[in-house]
Amino acid sequence: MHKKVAFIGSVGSGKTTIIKNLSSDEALDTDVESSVDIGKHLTTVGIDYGHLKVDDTTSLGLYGVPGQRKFSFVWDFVKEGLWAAVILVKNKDTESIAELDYLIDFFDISQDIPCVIGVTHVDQGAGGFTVKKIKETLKKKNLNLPVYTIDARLNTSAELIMRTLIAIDESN
Amino acid sequence: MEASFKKLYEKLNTKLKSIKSLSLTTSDGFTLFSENGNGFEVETDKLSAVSSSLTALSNAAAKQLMKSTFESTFIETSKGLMCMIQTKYQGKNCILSLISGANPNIGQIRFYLNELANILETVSLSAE
Repeated sequence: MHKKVAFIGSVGSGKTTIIKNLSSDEALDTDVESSVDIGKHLTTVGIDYGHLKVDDTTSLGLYGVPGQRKFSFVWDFVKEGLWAAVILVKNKDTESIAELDYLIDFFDISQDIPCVIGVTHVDQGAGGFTVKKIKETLKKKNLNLPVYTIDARLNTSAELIMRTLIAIDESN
Repeated sequence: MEASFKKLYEKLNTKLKSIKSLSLTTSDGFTLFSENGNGFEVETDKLSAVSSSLTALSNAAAKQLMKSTFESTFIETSKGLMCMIQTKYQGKNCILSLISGANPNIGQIRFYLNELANILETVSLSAE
């Protein structure tokens, strides 16, 4: 069975990095040079795609979408038929934290689909403030989702996210 | 050499006829210049974002599946076609997009759009 996982979140939250980290094969990326200052040199404008084999019968398609809202037409077709979602939030970034509210609504995130929130760039601080703000947003929406502080560059973080999604799915 | 995008559009339209839209976009989807034909309305920001995404995906397909270099993307519809090719403007990677009217001549469009892309690589455009 092939299942679809979306990686969503604001610009620079680590979506491309975590997909490259998780993918069994070389991930497809659509990064281009940024013409404005967004805090990094490259930005995703199409779709990132990676593939992860879970076991002999299950594989996951890992879809990363652009963080900028102007590319939300890409979000539209990624959100169809989602098995699970991973929302990445950049630590201490007020725009990234505020974007969570919008993304939860846009992608119809509910308790019915496995979803994990990862706080990235935590090496720049402890992450406590960001986690608190995320939990406030989730509370307003009556959602109870796991929130982890992660390093998108590390295999251990990526594996933690995927193991959690599978565990949530099995318990649903 | 300085020219205006509007004049380049008009010159191209005398050769191709019925161009609905011509735009120059940064590779990350910001509009630099855009001209529309009479009565044709398109959301410029959306056109730039779509051009950016489709060109990036085409590039990825060309490199990773076809082991080649991307040249152009064509979308054909019953009302005309949309063509996107890569170019450079002031040293930066950009996308030149054209939306045609009905009954387009693909060969002509490809030829003249490539010619325009070459001009854009050396020209400096005024805001006129």
